[in-house]
Amino acid sequence: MLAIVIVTSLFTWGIGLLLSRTDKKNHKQRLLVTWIGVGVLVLLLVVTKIINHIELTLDWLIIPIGISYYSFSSIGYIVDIYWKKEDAESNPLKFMLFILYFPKIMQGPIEKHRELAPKLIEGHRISYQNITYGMELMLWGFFKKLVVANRAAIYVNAVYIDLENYLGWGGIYLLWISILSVVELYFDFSGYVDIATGISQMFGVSLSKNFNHPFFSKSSAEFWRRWHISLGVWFKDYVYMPISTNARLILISGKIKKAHGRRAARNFMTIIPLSVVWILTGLWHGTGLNYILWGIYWGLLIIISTVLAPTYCRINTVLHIKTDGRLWGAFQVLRTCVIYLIARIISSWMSLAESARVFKSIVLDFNIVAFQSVLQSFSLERWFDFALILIGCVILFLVSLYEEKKGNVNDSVARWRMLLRCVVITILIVAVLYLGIYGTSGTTGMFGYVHF
Amino acid sequence: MTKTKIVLIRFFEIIIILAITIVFIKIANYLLVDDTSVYTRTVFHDFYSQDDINVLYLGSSHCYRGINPQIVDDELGINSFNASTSSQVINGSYYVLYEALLEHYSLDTVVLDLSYSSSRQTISSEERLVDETSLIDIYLIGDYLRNPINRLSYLTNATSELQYDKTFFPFRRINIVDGLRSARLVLNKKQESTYIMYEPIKYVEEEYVSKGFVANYHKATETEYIKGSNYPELDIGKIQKTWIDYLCRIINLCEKNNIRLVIVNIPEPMYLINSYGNYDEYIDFVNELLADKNVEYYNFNLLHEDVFPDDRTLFKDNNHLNYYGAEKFSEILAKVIDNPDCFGSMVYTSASEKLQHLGH
Repeated sequence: MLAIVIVTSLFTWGIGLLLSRTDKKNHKQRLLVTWIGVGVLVLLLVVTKIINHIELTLDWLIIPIGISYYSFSSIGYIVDIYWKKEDAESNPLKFMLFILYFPKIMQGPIEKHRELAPKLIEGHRISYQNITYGMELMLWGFFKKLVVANRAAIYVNAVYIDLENYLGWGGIYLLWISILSVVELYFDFSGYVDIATGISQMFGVSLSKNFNHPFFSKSSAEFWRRWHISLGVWFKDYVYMPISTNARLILISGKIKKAHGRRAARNFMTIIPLSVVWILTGLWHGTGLNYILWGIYWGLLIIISTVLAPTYCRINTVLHIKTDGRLWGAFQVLRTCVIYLIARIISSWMSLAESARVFKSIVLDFNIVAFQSVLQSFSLERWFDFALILIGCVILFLVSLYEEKKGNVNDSVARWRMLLRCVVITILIVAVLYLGIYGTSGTTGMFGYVHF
Repeated sequence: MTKTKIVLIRFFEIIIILAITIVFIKIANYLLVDDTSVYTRTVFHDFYSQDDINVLYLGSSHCYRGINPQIVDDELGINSFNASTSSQVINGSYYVLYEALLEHYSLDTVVLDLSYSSSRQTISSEERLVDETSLIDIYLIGDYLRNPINRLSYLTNATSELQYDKTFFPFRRINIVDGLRSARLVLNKKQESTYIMYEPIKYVEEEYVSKGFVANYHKATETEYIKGSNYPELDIGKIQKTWIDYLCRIINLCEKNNIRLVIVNIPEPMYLINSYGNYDEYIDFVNELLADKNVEYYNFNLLHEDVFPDDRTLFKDNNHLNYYGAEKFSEILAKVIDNPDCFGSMVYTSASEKLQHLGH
């Protein structure tokens, strides 16, 4: 596995070096080298995704963990050199350090070479603040992953692997499981990012932010600026921007403007790049039909909200809706959460057919009566788990709310009285030790996004 | 604030966090883990309280129910100790022996029970992962070994890293809800003087006596006695390499410390021996394994009936000796330890010969 990562890293490093040594005026040659580099990396990624999708098992073939993440970093590096945004790294070891830097290799964030590499190479002094901040962040990440995400995963996975059995529990239970799966994914992924960022922080290397309280978003577009930020930024920089600034597309948009007006041209320039971005985002997550549909779903929502933004504005004015009011804000946040829940139902099940059955059950067979008897049969242990998940969500909500309004919790914790700080940190340690689901107690030990 | 003051505050912060965490772990273990009815706790307390140990018995429940050290001590004028534990497998025996050496006991003999069924037991951590019930047997030793390095070495060898949470934090072995429910009960039991003073545990027909010996006064009924083996025939060729490796490690350890190693098979009902199907094959395997090694091997299942009768009143069930059986067997064992040459005249040459003679 490591061999594949090292070979691809050396390949990317070589392409970068070749690009830097190619005559800057020889545009065609530079483009060819770039396409070869990007093409090989994309091919490797596509083959990996297909093998993953068809669940092909070959003894000699081990797919490296995190290939989707470091491939994107590598592609970005080559393209940045081509665009002359940065110089190629001449030292292969330094380049491999950037690719193989362990906190981010499994699940990102997808870092840019020009941003992370200098931080890795510059001298670092052992800093008490870095170590404590890093450890606090890691502890928070472990709490999210082990106490909440793994606990939710027990119930979510039970339904995922045996949907048939749970259809009789009523749509309301499936809705509950779908909500739990959102909780699981968020706590799992953001928990990982906290652990990775925390480890890195301890070494004095800050990773880029990958989450910014996405469930406070008021629109789908804003959600994707707050969730898996590094992926969104990558697509913006290396897919959206090149398409939006493509000369041919601008030419076509000019013709549309002449024929149908400025708004049609603007819509055209919104629809084409966003469609490509979202289909590719879907494919990045997986080659299954549900992922493609998931990409289309997000793409459509964001395109519609962008294209129809002026219309919405007019409707709001006509209906005298106070768009800056708290109530409207809360409605928008809730709407985003529902939109995300639907997306999760599309993508999380084994197949599109299963997703459809879940939707059908939630909409047409809510079945509160069946759910009541299911509730009565719940063991105390199950209630305990649900209560803990709820407490975890409340704590996360309060922390997020604080950070939204007042800034980093780490900084505030550092200002607390020593005893209070010790007690809070110890409570977190104890919670992870005692309430964490890990080892053989858990049905899932892996992080969810590691499969992408 | 001066630099020294900042450093001091930070240092205290770490100490406070560590201290509270350790206190929590201690409290959680105390309140949630119920070891009030575990013999091993008392056995190891006795083990560490001995002034000296000359002869150490190692093995599973066959051994702690079958050898009464007091009888051997009275016969030979020595101080022996039975450090067997439930389902103790050979890697467990190795680490218990090592612990005895770390305690600086002047061991001159180790008696290791190598029963047919113990050879069946798996000890690889991968298999433990599949069969978590056997973890309890590992923890019966691991929880009470006093030397931290030996303990760590045993636990990391015997369990998988996926089980380390349960291995190193005993409170994690208990289901949270069940643990919280029974915490008060456990607390009450642990407040009793019997627990605090390590008083011998007593049941209706069974009690911990001393020196690791558990006496069972039940005499097996006819049905219990003739039950035979619960398991399929042991495939001798598939006995694990790790099992053999640990036996060799015990042999080497004894050799290195000038300790006489005596490997035994404690008597089992002949119905059980017959039901194994290939007992002679097992004897040949052990003999072959021990050839060229400076080890004595005595299979007491081959004893003539006039020395040790195949009698249900000497057993508690289909495979363990009871108090009366242990009394009788311990006397025989003392004789053999004292004079190994007498063993040859006491036994049949094979299990099949004995079974044929008994009409099985």
